[in-house]
Amino acid sequence: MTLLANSELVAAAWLVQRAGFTSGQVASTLPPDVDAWRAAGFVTVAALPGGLAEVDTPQWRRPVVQVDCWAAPVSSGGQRPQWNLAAQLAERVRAATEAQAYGSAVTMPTGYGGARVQAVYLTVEPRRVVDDVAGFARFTIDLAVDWVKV
Amino acid sequence: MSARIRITRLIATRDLADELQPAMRRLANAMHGRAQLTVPKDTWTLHDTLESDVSVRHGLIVATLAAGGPTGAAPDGAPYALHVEGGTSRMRAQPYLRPALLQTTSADLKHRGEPRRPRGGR
Repeated sequence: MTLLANSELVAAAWLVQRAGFTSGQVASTLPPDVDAWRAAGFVTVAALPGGLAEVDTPQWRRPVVQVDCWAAPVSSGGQRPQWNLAAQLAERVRAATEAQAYGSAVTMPTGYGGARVQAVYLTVEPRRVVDDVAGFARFTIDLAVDWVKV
Repeated sequence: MSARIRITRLIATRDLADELQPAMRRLANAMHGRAQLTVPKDTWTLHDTLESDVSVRHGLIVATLAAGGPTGAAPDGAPYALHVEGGTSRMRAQPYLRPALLQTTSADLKHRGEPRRPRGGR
């Protein structure tokens, strides 16, 4: 049976295929093995409850997802998180929204049905989040993702 | 650290502000009520710090929905309010303010009813 796509998976697929992240660099939670993503940073995706539900066109999904761009200190035990790396990841997301091809299909993970992303846009500017408990650098973005399943 | 969402509109005259203020109050009440439904209630403290307000100053009318500050029901506030809303590297986000805003419709301007009192009382 084909699994149905959901908003977090579609957003993650869009980030990999349009913003140029690797598939191992985007997930719904931050991997505990920091060394695995220390060099390149990491991106997490979480759908916000809410968004707009269309009564007349329920196939049209319009969620807002929270995209967090993370960067750890250069070395284990380091005190200075790589703010520039986190900022670069966030800017890559923003740049991808500017250069997007509207209505283009994204490739979903194996076993999932397809999805077509109609539009992706920032609802607020990327913003720096300070005082993380683990000392990571983080920029967060609220991203509206309009999509339909195909 | 408290968390806060503001909806701001420019106003030209005091008369216009007086006319808009009740509608903005109803909008703030509607968002406040939605936030009360979705806010995590492990201890109810965060719930009890939710506040909404409408103010007029310097040509602006501002509806505010805030969480985390000290209130009568939670005098110490909830300094983790922003961490719950946005998550941390060790805790997944549990948003409650942005969903309250994202579900806003024009019907909120006619919303009736007040936010619940602390701890789900009526």
